[in-house]
Amino acid sequence: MPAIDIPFFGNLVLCLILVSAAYTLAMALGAARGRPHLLVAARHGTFATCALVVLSVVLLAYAFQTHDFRIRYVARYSDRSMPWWYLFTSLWGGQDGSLLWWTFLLAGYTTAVTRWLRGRFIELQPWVLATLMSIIAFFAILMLFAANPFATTVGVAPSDGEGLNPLLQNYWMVIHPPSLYMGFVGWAVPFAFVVAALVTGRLHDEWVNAARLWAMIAWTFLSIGLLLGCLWSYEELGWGGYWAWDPVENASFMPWLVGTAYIHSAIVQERYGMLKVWNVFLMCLTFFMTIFGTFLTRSGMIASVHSFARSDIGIYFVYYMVFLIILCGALIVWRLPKLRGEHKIESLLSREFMFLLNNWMFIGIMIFVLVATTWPLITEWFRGEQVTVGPAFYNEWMVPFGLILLFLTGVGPLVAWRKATGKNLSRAFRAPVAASMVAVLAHLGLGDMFGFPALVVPDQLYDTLTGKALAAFHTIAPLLSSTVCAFVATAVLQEFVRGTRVRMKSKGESMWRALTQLISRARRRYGGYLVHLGIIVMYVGFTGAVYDTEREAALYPGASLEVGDYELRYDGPRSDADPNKSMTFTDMTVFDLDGDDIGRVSPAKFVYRTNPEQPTTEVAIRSNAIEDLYVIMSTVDGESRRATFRVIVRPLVSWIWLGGIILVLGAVLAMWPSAKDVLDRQQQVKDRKKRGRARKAAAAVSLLAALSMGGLDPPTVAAQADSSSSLHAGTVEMNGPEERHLFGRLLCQCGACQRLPLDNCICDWAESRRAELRARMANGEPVADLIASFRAQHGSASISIPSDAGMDRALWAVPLVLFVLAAGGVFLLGRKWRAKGAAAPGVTESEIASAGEADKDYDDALEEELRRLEER
Amino acid sequence: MSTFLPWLLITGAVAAFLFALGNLWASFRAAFGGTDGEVHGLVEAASRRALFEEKDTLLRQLSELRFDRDGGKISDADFEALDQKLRARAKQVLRLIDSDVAPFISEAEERIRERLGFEAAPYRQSAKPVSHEEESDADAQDEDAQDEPPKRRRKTKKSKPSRSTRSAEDPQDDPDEPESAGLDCPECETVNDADAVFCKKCGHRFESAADGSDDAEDAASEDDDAAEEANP
Repeated sequence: MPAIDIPFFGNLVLCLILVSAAYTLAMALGAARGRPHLLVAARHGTFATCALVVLSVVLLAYAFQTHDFRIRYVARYSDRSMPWWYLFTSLWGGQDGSLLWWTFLLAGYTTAVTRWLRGRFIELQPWVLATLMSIIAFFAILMLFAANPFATTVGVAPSDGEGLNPLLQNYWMVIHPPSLYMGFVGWAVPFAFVVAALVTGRLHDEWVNAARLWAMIAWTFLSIGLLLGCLWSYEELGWGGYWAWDPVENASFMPWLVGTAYIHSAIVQERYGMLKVWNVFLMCLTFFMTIFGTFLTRSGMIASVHSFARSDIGIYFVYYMVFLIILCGALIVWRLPKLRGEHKIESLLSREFMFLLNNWMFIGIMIFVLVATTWPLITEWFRGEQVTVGPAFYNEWMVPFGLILLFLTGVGPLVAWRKATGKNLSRAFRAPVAASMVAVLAHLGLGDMFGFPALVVPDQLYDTLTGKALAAFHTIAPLLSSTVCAFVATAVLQEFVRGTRVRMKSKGESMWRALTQLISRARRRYGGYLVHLGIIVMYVGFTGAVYDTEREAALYPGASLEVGDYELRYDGPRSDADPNKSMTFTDMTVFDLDGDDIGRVSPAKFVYRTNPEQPTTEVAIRSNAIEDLYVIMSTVDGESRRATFRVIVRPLVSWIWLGGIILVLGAVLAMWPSAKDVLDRQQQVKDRKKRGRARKAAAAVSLLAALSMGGLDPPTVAAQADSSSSLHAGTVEMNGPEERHLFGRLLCQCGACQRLPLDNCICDWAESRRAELRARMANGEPVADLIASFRAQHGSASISIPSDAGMDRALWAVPLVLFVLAAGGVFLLGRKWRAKGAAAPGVTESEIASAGEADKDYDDALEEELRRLEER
Repeated sequence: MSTFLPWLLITGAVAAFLFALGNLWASFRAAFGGTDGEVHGLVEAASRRALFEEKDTLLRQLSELRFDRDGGKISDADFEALDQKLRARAKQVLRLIDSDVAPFISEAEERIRERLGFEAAPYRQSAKPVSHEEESDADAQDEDAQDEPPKRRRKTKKSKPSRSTRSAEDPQDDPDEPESAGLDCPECETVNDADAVFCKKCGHRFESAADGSDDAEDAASEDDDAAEEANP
């Protein structure tokens, strides 16, 4: 290979990126002041800046492939034994590189939007480019001064690197982070449009139209990223679940919630010119949450299994967030007079008001998650100790919110715009209500028979009135879930049926043609309904978690274990090795209730050459439409061949992945460009090139969807095929569910383990605490007393679920109060608007008068255009 | 792959570097006034595309509205009001498009006449180039346009502000403001949207809408900028 001084060139290119971005920013600002030739200069400058970002990524990739260990980042995240594809994924395996990767994706988006803007939105364009360039410049500064991926090692370069963390050496690493980053970074584009609209004062639906496609792209990628994260967690991390409410997971979830709220409320602005301030605020908040999420991940301020080490870059993000708050706040306040809605809500029983309620739920959930995620910081400020909030807290509180949100998903499409009458409400609600009644009866009557009882008594989160209330709710939650799912599914399907009937009646089309035409002509609407359908299917999967069955046992070869409808016989351990790792498999034969051999599973432990102290747990999963058999091998003794297993039967997990596929398909359908759009572009620019690009874009999206689906729908998953994991998951031997319940509530306090509960942590401190607590349990001490005693001994930060007393109560009380107040606010606002709305009809008399003045020549032309649209 | 990949990356790096250099050069040229054609093309294409895209959006909205009415999702009264509003705007957009393409239509008709020796049927009555008789009628109706050349007058009569200018025309926003007829470019006399920043033909910057702000000081400083641009 040619000897290239990559550290020098890399740093040089980073400097050039900053200079080029600053130059382009200046050109764009000049163009915004009315110099069109500077807009051309800014557009070329944008392409140049993005090309420089690509150059820097290529240089770092070259350094990885040629093992240039002079570069600190390369030495820390790769070694000579890694295959080329893992060397490539190392680009985003550590903090410095992932920032460069972030910039690279932003450059990709910027290039795409700059090309797309050619001949579009000429007044907004300079500010869009300026905003995007300022974000690139921020990341360039970050890389140059705080997290330089081209920084060199101190002293002589090592002969070999430390290697990529084994947790990251699997195929999920190839697709999950890029997809999630695509979702995160993508929100920069709609944010740029909203900044442009605020600065120029062009605040009608122009910016909403411009941002629509880009918001959908970002939302889709973020959804895919979250789904892939769930899959990665489920198949690779081996702790038995798909969502742990880890701060970094929450950091991705919060922008998704706000972005989803925006996508819904933008529809109201497009239709009636309402909610302008709210939409602008939501878009700014979505982008802010992506930066905040990055800050959470990068600053190391909150302990998380995902977090990068505590570093200096957090302060840069703090400055940037403060800047964003001031900028967005000032712009919104400045433009408030221009952001007044054109119309008001006429009735609380209207589609517009349903959208408001839906937004209230999304933002309410976001605030709840935000408070719980930042609770360690809040308690540190007020009490001087970091109190962590475990997943049980979220699981308990999120269920009621989720069900209300799901219910609103179904109600929204049933209610007419402006004002629903009793007649059309009864017509719209008849079938969904009937379906939900049938679901109630079926679940109550047949649930037990099929192993899905309608009422399930849960563990109580707190020994207080709140705990009892929550437990009561969770007892009926499965029944509520099936009822609401049936209601919403029927409501969504009814939309398809009614739409098809309308077309059949008005166009005389056959049913199949009417259905396909219906979807193809209103892709956005019916794509959205498909997304709702996907969410319902996912909810069914989430509900299945209530029926989990779990057993743990220590077995010698030949011994068996019964879980649910399965019997698993342990056949013995088996070893294997490759240049990268040694592997120990424990083979088990699975039998059904009739004693028939239905397959084999082989959970394993992998020990990587570069990280021998961190063995990874490879779960084995047998999956079907009804349930998953999930097997974790906790320990294996090489001499006695005794192994300990944790086996979970998890009903309906496949439904989550199926729902995810439907959701992604719906999102793709909703933003799919129409054939006419493509044809128009062909006419306007160069025909064949455009068509080729459209095909490529379609192929890329299809490939992505196919990739997702390929990963999402495993009939039988051999999870350990090419992977690793885990948070030491399953490496701790448990002697029953009571122990797991206890140790799951207690956090390791050795100081080195981050936020690991005692049922997972393998350090010596955790082991000695477990031994101590086991002894006390054997003496008959209740679990609640043991938790209280552990808390008294090690402080409230040692408990994964804060108590329901004192300041800890604020954790759920503050968001709940805000939530209720917001609900009151929404209703008051609705009533106030309604009062005014009566005096301000949707279309004013003067507007109608102005419409009436139009000359008749164009009536025919318009009818002709509409006819052609229908025929297309 | 491991031996081939570094060479591929080197090639990619060189390509990215050359691409960056090329664009920086193009950017400097544009900044110093070397790409007038590109500037004008950009502005004109944006103006025309905005009209076509708005037309498509309005047609889709009208179609969806009708569908909502048929499906019982919107009351008849509401449908009527929204339908009228959208139709009025759609007709304005059609008119603007016609005025935009009228010179091309007349050129096409002229060529057909030359080639075939007879008059082609008009594309659309209102888009047909205005005859001298029509011009005199128009002149009688529009005295303000009397001193303008024929082509210019026709455009003035038919031009309406684009969708993005609804704030200016929307009676709710400012009921006292008369309906805008657009901005006349002092350089090439083309009629532009009321809140256009650049002329869609020649790229000339309009002072009043240059930064979208109401700030008088900004407007004053932009006047200076405009003067500098006009007389470099």
